[in-house]
Amino acid sequence: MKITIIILITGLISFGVFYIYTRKSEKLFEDKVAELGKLIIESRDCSRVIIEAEEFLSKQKDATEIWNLLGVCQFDTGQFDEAKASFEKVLSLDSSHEAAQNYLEQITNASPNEVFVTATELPLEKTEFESLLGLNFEGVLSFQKAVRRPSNILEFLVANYTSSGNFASVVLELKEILAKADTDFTVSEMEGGTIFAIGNGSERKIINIEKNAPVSVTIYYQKLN
Amino acid sequence: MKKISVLILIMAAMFFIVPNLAHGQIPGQHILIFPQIAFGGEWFTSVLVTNVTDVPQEFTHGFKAPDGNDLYLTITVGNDGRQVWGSTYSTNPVPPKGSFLITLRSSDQKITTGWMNTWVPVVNGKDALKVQVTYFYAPNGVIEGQASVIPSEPSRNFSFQAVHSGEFSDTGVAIVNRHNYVPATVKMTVHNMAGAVIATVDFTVPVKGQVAKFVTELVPALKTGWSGGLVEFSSDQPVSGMSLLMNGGVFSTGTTFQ
Repeated sequence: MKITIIILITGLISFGVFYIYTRKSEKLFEDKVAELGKLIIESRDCSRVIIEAEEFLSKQKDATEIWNLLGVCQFDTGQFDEAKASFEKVLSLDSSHEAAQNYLEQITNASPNEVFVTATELPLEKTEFESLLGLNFEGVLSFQKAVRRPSNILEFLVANYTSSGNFASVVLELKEILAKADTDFTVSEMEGGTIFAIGNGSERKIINIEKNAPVSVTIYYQKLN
Repeated sequence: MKKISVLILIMAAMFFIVPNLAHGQIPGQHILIFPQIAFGGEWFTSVLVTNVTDVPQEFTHGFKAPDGNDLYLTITVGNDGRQVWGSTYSTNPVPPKGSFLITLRSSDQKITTGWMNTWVPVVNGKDALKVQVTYFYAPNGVIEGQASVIPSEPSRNFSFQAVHSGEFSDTGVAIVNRHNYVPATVKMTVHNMAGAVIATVDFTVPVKGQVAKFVTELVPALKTGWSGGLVEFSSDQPVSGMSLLMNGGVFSTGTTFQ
């Protein structure tokens, strides 16, 4: 009788300890997902998410959602190989995880030469942008902003300019700048504007002039290899 | 409470971050792209959405201008012909085996063009809703020409057959680049009946934008001496393309293939 009571009490204590431990680790996991989720959505601080997620995963290797958030941030910061490994880990833990499937599909199904970029914007100075582009728009366009986006190519830069001039004169002036730079370019004229494209096997420059007031100009620089 | 906030955050990560980063994909949804819509002047476009399942379904549609900006317009929706303000992300229900009709029409004499996205649910790996877009040419309200098209899947290479039998005959092409950040560089290669390449032209499709032109607009030299043949397109980014064969006011859908 005594032995049965002892076994029962031991069993209850063990169950209680196990329950508290499980709840504690579940709460720890939930808190971490919430914290990292907030960092991504509210602060878009992916570099911190990567550090904290890796630290968490070194102690708890089967935390699917942490692997997923790590993969999201690795992708967002252009670490595509690392992101691929993280999403593969997510799918090894939960094969029906749709977000991981989507990301992995994008990483693995990209055709050769297909450029993919992430939503992260790293600010760039006007001088640095124009120096990489090899063109100067002084006196023709007003600089608004330039950003570098993490991508699967060497460089993917985008800059926005405006001009208070009329659309036709902006097109003409930009054409002259390209002609002075001795650059061969193609012209695509569309309902909404005109696009100049300059390209060879190693780099591509695209100048998109839109018929807005004021005229807005988006310039892309892609260094392919 | 904590569990609910965690779940909300995970869902937010899936629905807000994933679509942003992964070409607008939404889990469980298939995006259908129609590279051309046209209304105003003597043109109107209808969009017929049919639920092929036995349960109620919903679809979301969005209209875009050629430059990628949202296209706001008055559309006629549903079987009761309600006039509503059409914009991106309007969602409509479709009963089991039922259909939903949207008509894009304008009394304005100016023709407005653009393209359309439609998100449909996927059930057992198949689209639960079928979508068909029909273009109508109706001078003085009398329909003189119409052609229906099915959605175009994004691809880096596609082709179509063109016929050019005279001054009023041409083939229109519409290409959409849905990418949020990367413009598409497209090469068009035109062959003659003997298979020889007689023209190539490069053009750029802006981010989230559309190019809609006639083949002879892209290569004016083809207006004379070319009777048609294979027209090939290759792009550095996945794009959606379609063709329309025109002969005066009469037109028909071209078939694009890879």
